[in-house]
Amino acid sequence: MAHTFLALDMNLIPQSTKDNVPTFWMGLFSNDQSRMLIDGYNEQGVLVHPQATLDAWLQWSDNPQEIQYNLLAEAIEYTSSEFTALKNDINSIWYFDAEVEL
Amino acid sequence: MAWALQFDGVNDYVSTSSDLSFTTTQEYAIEIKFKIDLSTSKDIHILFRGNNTNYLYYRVSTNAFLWKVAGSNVSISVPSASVLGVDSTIIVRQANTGSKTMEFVGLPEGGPFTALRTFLLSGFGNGGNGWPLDGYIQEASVYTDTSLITKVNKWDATASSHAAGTPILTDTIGGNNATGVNMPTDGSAWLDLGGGGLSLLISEQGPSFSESSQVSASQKIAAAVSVSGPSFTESLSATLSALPIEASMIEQGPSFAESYLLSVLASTNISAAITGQGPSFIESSTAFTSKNFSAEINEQGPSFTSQLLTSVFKDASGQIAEQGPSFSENSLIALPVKVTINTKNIVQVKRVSRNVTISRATKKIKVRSKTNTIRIK
Repeated sequence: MAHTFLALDMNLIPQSTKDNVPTFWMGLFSNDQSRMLIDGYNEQGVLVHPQATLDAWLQWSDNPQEIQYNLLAEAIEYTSSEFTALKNDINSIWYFDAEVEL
Repeated sequence: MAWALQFDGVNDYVSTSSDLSFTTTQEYAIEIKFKIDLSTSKDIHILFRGNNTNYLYYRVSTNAFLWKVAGSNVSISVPSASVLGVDSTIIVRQANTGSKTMEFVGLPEGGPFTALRTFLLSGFGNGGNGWPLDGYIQEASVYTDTSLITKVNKWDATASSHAAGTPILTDTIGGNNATGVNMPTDGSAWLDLGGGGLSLLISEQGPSFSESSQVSASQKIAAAVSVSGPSFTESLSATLSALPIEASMIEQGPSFAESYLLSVLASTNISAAITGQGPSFIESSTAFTSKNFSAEINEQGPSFTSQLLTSVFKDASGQIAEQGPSFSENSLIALPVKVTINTKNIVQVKRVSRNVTISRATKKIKVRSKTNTIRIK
């Protein structure tokens, strides 16, 4: 199931999506809240979220296709190991101190 | 067939519809069946959690499970070699005294510790910037007793829908389903573990019957078939794309006609024990397999006709015993490599057909006999 991850630009995510998707704020965000991490592409280069999922995310927008295009085009793609390295990098917006209790 | 829900070790987790709160003197147990990836680069793997001070994790660097209950905790040491890449079960228990223990199934319990504090459960794995699980969960259960008798919640990956969409780990008893967060929604979060297979026990009796059976499966088939009757006709066809066929068949009757076709598409094995008895019967067996074929066939009767066609690409091992005043037999084995045939020591028969055909890729045929005697009339 090895897939990549996409760090979406929070400024490109419609406010309606942030307000209405029930699990939106349960996601993983960078420390500065500028990026949201979602699952990306599988080994065949296909997004692991079918179009129906993207449509549901953007259902409150007038121009969902354009927003979707911009979100994916501006996303930063990481492999699992690349993202782990960022979590361990104190200078990264994704830094997490693993020794701190939950 | 068993299924599991995969967690990618980065941001995946599942959240229950309602939080469960276990009070200070409430008897309960929580059991979880899981596996942490053998090649994981993550150190801490949360298995279940409630909030920031209620959770259970395994830590690779310390070789230990730790169950934290509102600040207090118990831990047990389990070498990572026993955990990583291994299907495992861990159980935490609280007696009505507040005494708590933890058990990695197969090893002695850890604890007890007696912190009188409420434990919270709100989900499995852990997302966010916490300690995400890198592996999978097959099943998690909550019991109202420490003896694991009364189960009130069962989050079951096998019983859940594996279709595309947000993964939902279904609670088949309590209805407190757990929703996947940050997981793939194309169905790839679900992992087919195989196993299980199809097990059949068939018993048929009657003065007369006609039957046709067809089985198509991608998993192991194990069958025990017993057929008896004055007269019957039977046709059995099985097609597998993986794993073995194991069959045991006993047929009895004054007269019967039978046809077998086994087609195994993937690398796998056929193991069959067939016993045919009756004054008269007609039998036809055909097996195609890319790997091993092992058969023990025992046929008895005053008269019967038997046809065996086997085509394999690897090993075939057969032990055939035939007895009767009269029978007709035609056996064909096509095999590009090694052939080993062990016949019973004594076979005294009158053969109607004298045809024995062996087709090999090479031109060399070796026949070995333990008695050093091979007689052909």
